[in-house]
Amino acid sequence: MRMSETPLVQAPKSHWSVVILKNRVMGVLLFEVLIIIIFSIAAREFLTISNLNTIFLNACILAILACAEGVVIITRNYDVSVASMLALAAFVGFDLIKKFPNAGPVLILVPIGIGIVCGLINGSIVAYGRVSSVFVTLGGLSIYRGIVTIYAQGHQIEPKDIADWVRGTVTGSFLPGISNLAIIAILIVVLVSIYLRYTRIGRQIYAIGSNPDAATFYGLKVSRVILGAYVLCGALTGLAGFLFAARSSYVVPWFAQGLEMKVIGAVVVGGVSVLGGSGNVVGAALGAIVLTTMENGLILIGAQEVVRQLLYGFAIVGACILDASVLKRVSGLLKATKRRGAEA
Amino acid sequence: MRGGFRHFLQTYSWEVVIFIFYLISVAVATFLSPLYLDAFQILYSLQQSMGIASILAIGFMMIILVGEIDLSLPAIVAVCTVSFARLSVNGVPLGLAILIMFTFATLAGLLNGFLIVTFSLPSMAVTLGMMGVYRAIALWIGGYEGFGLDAFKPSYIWVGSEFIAGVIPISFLLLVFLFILAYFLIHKSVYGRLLYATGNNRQATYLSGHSIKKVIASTYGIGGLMSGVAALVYIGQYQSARADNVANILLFVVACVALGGFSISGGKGRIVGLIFSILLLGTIQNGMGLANIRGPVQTLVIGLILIAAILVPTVMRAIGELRFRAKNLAEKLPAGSK
Repeated sequence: MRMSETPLVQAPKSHWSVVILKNRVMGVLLFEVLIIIIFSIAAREFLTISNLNTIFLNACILAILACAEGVVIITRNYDVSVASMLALAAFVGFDLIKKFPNAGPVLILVPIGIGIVCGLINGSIVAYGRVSSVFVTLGGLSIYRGIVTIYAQGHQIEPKDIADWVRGTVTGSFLPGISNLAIIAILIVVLVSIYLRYTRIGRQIYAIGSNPDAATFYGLKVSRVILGAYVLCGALTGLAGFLFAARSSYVVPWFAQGLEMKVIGAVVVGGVSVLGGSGNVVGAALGAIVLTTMENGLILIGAQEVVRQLLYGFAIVGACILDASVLKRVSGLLKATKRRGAEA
Repeated sequence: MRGGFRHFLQTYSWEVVIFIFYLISVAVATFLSPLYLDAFQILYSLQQSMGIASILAIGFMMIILVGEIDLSLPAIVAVCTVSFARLSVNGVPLGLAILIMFTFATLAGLLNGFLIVTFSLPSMAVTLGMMGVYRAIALWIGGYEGFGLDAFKPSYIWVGSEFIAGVIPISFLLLVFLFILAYFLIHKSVYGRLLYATGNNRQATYLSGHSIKKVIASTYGIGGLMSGVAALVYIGQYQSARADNVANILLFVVACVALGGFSISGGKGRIVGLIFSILLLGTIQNGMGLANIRGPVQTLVIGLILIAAILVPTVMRAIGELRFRAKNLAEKLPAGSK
């Protein structure tokens, strides 16, 4: 029997689950517009240029982190140590900036390098040890945090310790009217998204996430690609640590504690499936913007921290349920079409 | 029986290794501090540092056995502690309070399990989300400042703070009771065998006519119940309740279970291993405390132990595979050269 020219297995395009799967990022965007409308009705000061600007700048760092975490989650793994990694990179990086004021912008490489080393540690244990990423990175979470605390020895980085060039690069604006932070964030999200979509390794990352066994049988070097994903995550986290610290001007050993939950929340809300192999980092970045908008709006309408925390929790669980039910339907449809194709 | 001892060593190799490490750690702790080797000191400090973690570890172990994970257990503990405090302030008798809170904790655990099995969701992401939800509930009940010593009626803190005959903490007896119960549940009951079966091969368990969904959800229920028990001990020990308490216990619980020989993918591990690993970790922590090692360093050490506990079996397996392959190759080579 000859195969027909069109691919044999194709789910019907009009089914709701396929529509959602294909337009997930658009859905996040629509949701963002919806909450902006709701909040601008609820709070007068929400829809002003300066407030929207604040939201966007606040979202930038979370977006970079979501992008980093997204790459790992697409490979069907997790990294819950991002917050500790970020703190370690930021603290050591800024400590060196304080100690060597003459070295200049070369020192940006320090936090990125620390991130890469942490990513290498996490990634090599997960990829080559073939053990659950949650447990490994949970260990990493405490280890990196412990190292920061030991390294700090009770000291902290204060605004006066931060060199002028740091502030100039991060909060200044290279293009008139747009902060450098925003440019860096947009650039990173676009580059990583292009990398994932159009390069060989990028496609391999998706292949491994959607079916690790099939990827192995196909001959992909699964362990190496997963290690690479963790290293990329570490590098981006290190950079985000530098930006975050430069923006907040204070670095303490418990810097960014608990941020990993927000990051994973942003990724999941942005349509990257926690089951791996689906979604993209633009969505994850949009998820970061959605969460930041919600946080800002809820503060403006005077909601308590309880509500915000509750919302994060529900956002993660709700997005999970949506993704899982879509996935179930789509795979069911694929199977049904396959069966029909085989009978024909 | 010939080779009985050797067979025993082979079956229980992990537990024996952990026990030897435990003996070494006791020796080192004695060496570090003359105060260490005192029965009351050991019992009391073990109970103080490990009691709550051990109770949680029992519940966590069941969930790990079926190959899932629950990150929200500490958050359920937090909800229960602040609710106990609130009930105590309102003058509810202890018996009723325990009934309410244990029911709530079990339902909270079951809700996690329900979400995971009905929508076949990844447990890690869901329980991370539910962790946020439960923490928010705890914050809602307890407020920012939480409750202090004056919130609790004496009957509420009895379990966690009193001693029998002046030496044995009541919570220790409770712990022993729970371990015995867990032993029979896991190793001597049909339900226990079902847990191992589900953890080892879900498909086969399902095909042999068992509802794996019910089994998995029930382990989450037990995990929730254990969080409730842990909360009762917690308020007795610390006599305070805040929405953000027991935040850092998860690492400890995970380390206990992983070091106890429980495989993360499920279906492996024994309760004896868990007991030894709790003793070992407790002694290490106790020893570090007596040697004046700071908190962050202690956390670092626990993290390293966790990584080691995960890595060692993997490395051993890899070495075993290599040896097996080398043996095969050695057998094949002369045959091939003929």
